[in-house]
Amino acid sequence: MAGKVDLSSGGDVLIIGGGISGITVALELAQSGIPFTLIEKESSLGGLSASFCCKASESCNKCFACVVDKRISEIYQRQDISVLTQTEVTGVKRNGGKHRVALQRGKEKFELEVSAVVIAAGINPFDASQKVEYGYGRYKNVITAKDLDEMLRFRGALSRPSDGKLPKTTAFFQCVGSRDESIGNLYCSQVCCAYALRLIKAIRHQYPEVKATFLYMDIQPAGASFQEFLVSCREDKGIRLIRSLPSKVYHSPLSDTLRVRFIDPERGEVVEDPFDLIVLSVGMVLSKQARPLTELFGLDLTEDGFIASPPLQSGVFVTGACSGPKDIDRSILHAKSVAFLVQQHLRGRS
Amino acid sequence: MPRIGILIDALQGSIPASFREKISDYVKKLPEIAFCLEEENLASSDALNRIGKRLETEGGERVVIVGGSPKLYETSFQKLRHPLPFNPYLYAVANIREQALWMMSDEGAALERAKTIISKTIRGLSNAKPIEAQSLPLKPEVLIVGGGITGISIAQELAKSGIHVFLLEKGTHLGGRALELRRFYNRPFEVQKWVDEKINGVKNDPQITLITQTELKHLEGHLGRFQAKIQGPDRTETNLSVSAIVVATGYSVTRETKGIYGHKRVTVLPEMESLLSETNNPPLLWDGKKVEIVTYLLDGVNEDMKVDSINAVKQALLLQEAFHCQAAILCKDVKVAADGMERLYRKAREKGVLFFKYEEPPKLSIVNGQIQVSVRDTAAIQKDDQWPISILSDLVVVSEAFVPTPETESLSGLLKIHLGNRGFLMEDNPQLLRVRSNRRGIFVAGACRFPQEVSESLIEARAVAEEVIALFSKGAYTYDLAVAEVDPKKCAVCYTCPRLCPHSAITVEKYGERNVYVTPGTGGDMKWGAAKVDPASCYGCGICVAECPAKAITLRHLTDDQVYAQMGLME
Repeated sequence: MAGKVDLSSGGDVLIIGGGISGITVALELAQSGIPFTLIEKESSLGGLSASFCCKASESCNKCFACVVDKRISEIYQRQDISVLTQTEVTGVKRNGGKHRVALQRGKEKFELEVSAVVIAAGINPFDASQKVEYGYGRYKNVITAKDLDEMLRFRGALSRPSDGKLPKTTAFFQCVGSRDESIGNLYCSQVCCAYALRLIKAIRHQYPEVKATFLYMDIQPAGASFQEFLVSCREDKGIRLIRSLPSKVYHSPLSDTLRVRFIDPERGEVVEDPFDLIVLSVGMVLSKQARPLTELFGLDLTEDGFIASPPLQSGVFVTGACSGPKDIDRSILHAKSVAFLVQQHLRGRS
Repeated sequence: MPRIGILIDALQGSIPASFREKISDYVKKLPEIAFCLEEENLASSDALNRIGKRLETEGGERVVIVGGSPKLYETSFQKLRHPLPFNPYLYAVANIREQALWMMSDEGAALERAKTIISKTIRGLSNAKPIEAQSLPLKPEVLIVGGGITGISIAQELAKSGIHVFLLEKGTHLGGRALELRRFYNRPFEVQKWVDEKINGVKNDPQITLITQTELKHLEGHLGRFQAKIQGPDRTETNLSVSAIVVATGYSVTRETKGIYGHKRVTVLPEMESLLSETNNPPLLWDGKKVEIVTYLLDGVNEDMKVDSINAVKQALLLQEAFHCQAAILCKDVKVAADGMERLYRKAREKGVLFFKYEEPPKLSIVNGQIQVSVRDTAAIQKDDQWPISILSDLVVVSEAFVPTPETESLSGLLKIHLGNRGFLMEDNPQLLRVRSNRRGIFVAGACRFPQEVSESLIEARAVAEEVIALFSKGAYTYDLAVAEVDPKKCAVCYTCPRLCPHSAITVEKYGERNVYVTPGTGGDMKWGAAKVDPASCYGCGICVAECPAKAITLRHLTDDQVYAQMGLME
């Protein structure tokens, strides 16, 4: 990556995290001509949302995945943006109103002095193997929604991990790692209902023979176009929406199917239905890399384990899903609002 | 004929050397060719320097890249970020790898095909014109329509950034629907005090011109040059010229009053909100009578909005904790997709609030002056065990339906911005993202797009402020003239293009001396205007070009001549 940086002055702002939120802040600041440095620990920009596939069926289902690709190429198009990939923060010192941040890129170590720091460290999908009863990691055909998304994006086809065949029946489990007292996540991840339903719609469009069962607690609305979308899901005969979270998954080695135990309100009893593929809608947890950052910058966590926004005058800003669950749309919106606050902060300084 | 440089991509493993040689032999014989270079890494700075020098010495300005997919070069040029030695609209890619070499099994056939592709690309490029950048000065003045909490917040944020704001409110006072709210679900402070402080801030801000009892009546112009006609009390009209417009007109509500919903023991969430804030100590009184059991009936309307669910849980918890009432919430789904909401919901359940999720709508009836709400208890597994439950309530609280304000439709017409499927302005759009509208320079924020919780509106307000200051940051809007252009002589003023333009960038007006259309057979007296594309508002999508019956519109960066030349139709 070219992005030449004059290391003596990395600009006024350091943006930590090159996911969609960090990229949005960067593009907004660039538009206003504010010098900054964007750092990303991985070798490429985009973060989690860069691995999402388009979830259009007959028409656009407003998943916003295409926006991420567009933003990344916008970053590359601009000549005036300095991006440092494979770079991590190793230390920070407050120097008057400024932050002196120590960075490491491979073996190279250097320091930047900036007036404001934006933390957009993102989230990790919940580790589904913690929900032992669903058998993630033990049964090949139990995958997470993110696994499915990447399968569709990078392989372009739906297949069962165990034998590569097309799964005829799929079950989507909602709230895996969200709204769950047993694992201590007492929050709703806010995006998974719409996310899983869009995945189902996209799959049903490409493979009309694949049936989907959506097992949920409450369907959470997502934006202005969601109601119409939900109605179209309810009208689809190949999608069963069942208000019930499954209790256990069993594997039948003979038929290589998975039996799911859940309460079916339609039949009014506990049932065990066979499925070819199980998709776990995993919730969001703060990314692993964010924890050391909170310690370095002395930031608090919210009750739900995301980063709490520090007072404005500290010059440290938190944006995107690491400040609380957000989808792509809301992450962009939030990042824009933070870009505004950063500029106000800089103006107050000069 | 403009002279063209040919660059053959000699990247290892891309096009075999023998094939490149044959291509090179063919190309060198073409008359319009200035030079032919082979480069291993086209996007490297060395290669670009060499290309630049050759263009200079041989006197050319156009370049055809012979190689693979155009996307490949686009991204590598973008990634390396060296300034290109040619105008970005004066290079074209002849994709002989995917479209010839990989497609044909026979090399001779592939070569013939490659030659055709190259000559077509050269013909197309010969007709291309360089596209220049233009700049539109913007004076930092913005009109905000709507003095609700979103409009107020945007006004304050913009004023802080040195932008002058005209804040238009049709009513007599600011604050809008936020005045109905008394408590936040997620913040400890009182809403009214907070709103009052904001309103006072707006009133005392020299950067904000507050105009109440005034409505927007007419709008002309485009980004940077909007001319708004506003009408105040006594029908006085004023003209404002602003650079950008923000629409934040909020929402309206309708209340069901038919049948039992008109009963005096049925109320709505905002009325309950004010009752709870006006009563300091238990007992809670309604109509002079003590209230002990309160039932919330949600999701009859606003099924896809979180606001009612949030307010109901917040109120029910307060009823349970502070007023010793029994509260029950009946809904289709408990909406907890907001920060901190799941905890509030759990707390409400712990404190004894009852939640029932229904599928068939609950039945309401009057029993001894109280309202009995009957609902099937779907919590039981067995169908036979799902008994109907009756809650004899002192008070039933229902949602008001959130609908667009009555003037939304006319506003969308006069601003020429889109209505969503439910009559609110705009909707979710991955191309424009939130707060932008289909027109450059017009933004839409808050509940007029979609009713939502206050904290969400505040984020939108800041995002709008960000969009506006980013637009104004350089004092001018700079853009490439890669837009549609009307030939006024050919325009028949049929109004097809202004109707079709998704960004309302086309108007019919009189401009320039050439712009004269004489209706055949009427003599020389009838002078009409012609369609005109505002270049700063045009996105260059080409819809008008395709639809114009008179072929009067062309895209400056992809003219008809270019396409015809490429197709070989010019000879």
